[in-house]
Amino acid sequence: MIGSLLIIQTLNGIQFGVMLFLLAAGLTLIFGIMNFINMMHGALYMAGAYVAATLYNKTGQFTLSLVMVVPITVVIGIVLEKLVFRHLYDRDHLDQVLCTYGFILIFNEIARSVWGASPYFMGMPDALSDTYEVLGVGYPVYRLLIVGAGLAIAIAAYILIHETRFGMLIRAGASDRAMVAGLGVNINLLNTMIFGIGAGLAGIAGALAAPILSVEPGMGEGVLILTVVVIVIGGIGSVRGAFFAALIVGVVDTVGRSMLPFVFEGFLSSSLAGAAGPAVASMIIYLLMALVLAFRPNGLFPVRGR
Amino acid sequence: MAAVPPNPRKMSRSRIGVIVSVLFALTLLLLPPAAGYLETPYYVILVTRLLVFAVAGTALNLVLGFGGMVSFGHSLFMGIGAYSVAIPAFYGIANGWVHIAFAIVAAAFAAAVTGAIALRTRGVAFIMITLAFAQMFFFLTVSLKQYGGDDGLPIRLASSFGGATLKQPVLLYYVVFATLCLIIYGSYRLYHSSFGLVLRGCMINEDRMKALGYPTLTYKLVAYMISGAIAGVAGFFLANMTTFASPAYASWTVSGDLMIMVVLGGTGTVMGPAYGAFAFLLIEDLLKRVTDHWLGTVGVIIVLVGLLAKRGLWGLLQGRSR
Amino acid sequence: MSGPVLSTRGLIKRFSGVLASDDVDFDLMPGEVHAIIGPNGAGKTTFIKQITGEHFPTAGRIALGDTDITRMRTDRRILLGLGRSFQVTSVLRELTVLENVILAVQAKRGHSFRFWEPAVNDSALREPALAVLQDVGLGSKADLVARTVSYGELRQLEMAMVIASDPKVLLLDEPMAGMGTVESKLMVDLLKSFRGRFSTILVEHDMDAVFALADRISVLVYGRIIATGTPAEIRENKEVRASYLGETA
Repeated sequence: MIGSLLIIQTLNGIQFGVMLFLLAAGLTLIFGIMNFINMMHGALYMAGAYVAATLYNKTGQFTLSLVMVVPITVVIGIVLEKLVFRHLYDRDHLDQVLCTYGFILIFNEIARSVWGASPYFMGMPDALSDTYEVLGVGYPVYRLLIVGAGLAIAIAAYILIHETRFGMLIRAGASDRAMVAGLGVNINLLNTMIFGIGAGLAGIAGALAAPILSVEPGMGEGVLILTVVVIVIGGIGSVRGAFFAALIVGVVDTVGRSMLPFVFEGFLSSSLAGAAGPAVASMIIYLLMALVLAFRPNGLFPVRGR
Repeated sequence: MAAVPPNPRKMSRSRIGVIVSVLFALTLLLLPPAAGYLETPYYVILVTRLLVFAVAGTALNLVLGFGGMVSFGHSLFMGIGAYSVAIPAFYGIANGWVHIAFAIVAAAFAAAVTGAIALRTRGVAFIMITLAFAQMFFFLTVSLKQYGGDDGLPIRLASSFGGATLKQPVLLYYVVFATLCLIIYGSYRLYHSSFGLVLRGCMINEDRMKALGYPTLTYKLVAYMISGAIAGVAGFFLANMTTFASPAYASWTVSGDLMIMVVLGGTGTVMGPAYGAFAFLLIEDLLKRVTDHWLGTVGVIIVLVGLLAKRGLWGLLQGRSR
Repeated sequence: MSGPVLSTRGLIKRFSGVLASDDVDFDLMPGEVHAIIGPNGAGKTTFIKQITGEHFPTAGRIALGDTDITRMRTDRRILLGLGRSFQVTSVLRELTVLENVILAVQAKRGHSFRFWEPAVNDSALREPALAVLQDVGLGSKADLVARTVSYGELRQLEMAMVIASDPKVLLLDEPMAGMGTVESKLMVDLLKSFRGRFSTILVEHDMDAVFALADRISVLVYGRIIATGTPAEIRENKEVRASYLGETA
């Protein structure tokens, strides 16, 4: 019994980790290469979820709805970058925090006004709501799809970063921003592309999450914090770091939250376990982050040259 | 940004700031009796909240404005301050001295631990780590079901000092007001002191300070602890005011609001954060009455503040540029 | 004191394949001005950074007096008596001239955990700071915000800050950089007035200044010291002329 629970939670953790990777990959580049604090990455995730849900509810075309999210969120990201955020690159981090924080409120307000404050439901095609047997347990097909999609994107990201000229600029920019500018590269275009890609990734993560999570105003904030923890653990500016840290965080958080109370009950009095279990479980990711930082202040895969 | 302008020609304009502040302080001093006379006691509570956040904003300014540390951790310290009242009260301990000692020590300790980890990094990393720690505390308070969890913990016994308890709104008002005046004055002295000079130097060029021989991490950490302790005191007041302690007090959005108040009022100035707190909270209150979409409107205002507020309200009063 | 105030033995610094410091033995004798010259990319800055502690050497030892400082943290080295001048941009521009120098003085006077009294009013800090400002010629500008003074005055302020921290060893990293003829002369005169007060390592490209100030010169090429001697000896040295001076002198 506990074995199958563990398997399911681990798979959930991997699935969650994959989604965190989609969010973290873009955001770590925005933090690391653009040196821009973008608090509203979660809002773009939320935008992706609402767009996917709306499209699916209107058209009934699942795959198409998910795919269409990408250009829409990319455009939103690019528009924001060109109109507002571009002017903040040379400013204090504080000003960047304020502006992007303000946009969180604006996006949440738009969501509330257009779709209402209660969760907006998105279903999924019957074919996907089935279960599939994995390691002796039945596991939802859709979640396997998320893992698959996420890994596919991770591979695509790897190819992009290591096999293309654009990727080379990203790797160079991660370790030495000034040098990239000095190479005569169109820095503005590079920034816009990075931001746009980040927005697209956040959007697709939101779209993938929409059928299984609550689509509601403010859904982006919780996941933003976890994304931040992933990035800090992985190393700011490192997509590779984001990948491994995302999986670690996803699995540790999911398995920890579900299993830790049981573990505590095993060797603590039940009242103490009842109190400590959920408390520690909720903090476990942050304790992990603190532990990593104690030994590696720059994360597990720091980008050299910083 | 020194509070003492070298140019005598500008003296008269900075006088305006001082005069306005004195008038403002007098108004605040006379508010409770006036409210009592007009039989509108609600205003005492409303302004107490403004004063509490003015204290918290001034605390944040010590590290943000003087030290250049963009810390999301201050909601954590306020939360600790609030629960420093709620949890002892839960066990029947109403002694105000216990509450406040708890608040200061626990908040300073939390600042020491989180600061020791976060301050080894800079820039984006520092900001994000303080954010993560703030959320960690938030989730901790949510998960402590025996202390109310998500619903928060009502406080039946307010802090009592000798005979008086802070449950009396007018007494609480004056205590917070006095604290604010003290903290602002202390902030002023700190700014010009040896310690303050080192802190400001660290904000301008930390490598240079290291090259002068300063262990900059130590100084920043001490500033962080002082700032955290004062924010804890603000949390202590907040709990007494609302007779409630809630995880929401520790949410990272509270830190965000504090940052807005500091920037709006004038980052790095001594009086600015207090003005910023008053302005921001009053605007928010006004918007709430006028429109359902107040949160989004506040968002627009915040974006504009981030884009445009160079000198803040205090700078505008002073008529000086940065 | 008979031995060197600063010395390196067998100093090696490798940056993934590039040998920036190649077995450098260096001595700074008490009271002397010892200049280091060499072509761009010779490794002068890397050498200085190992002395300040910004880089740790791959191999070799650095000693300040009798103390091994090879792996010591920068601020601890400063407290032991190492002083370094910077490019001007690192003067703390938002503070006043006096506040900048006070920070330098304060660093050496125990701790600065004083939270109440204004630093500029503390006579234990104010007096030495003003004295140093007089020495460099900035006495009348003490209360001006650093951002408002001229470039040359910023250089003087930089010197004042270094001297105010009362260093035993002074590291001057291209103090003439970006200066015109008049300003260079003023700086040379200023440095001459400090003769004997400090033991100085001077890294500089301006040969006129080097030959005017140095007691000894070491020539660094491709991370190696190829010659050390008095200015006259260096001028005559065939290897030095071939690899460096021949192009500029």
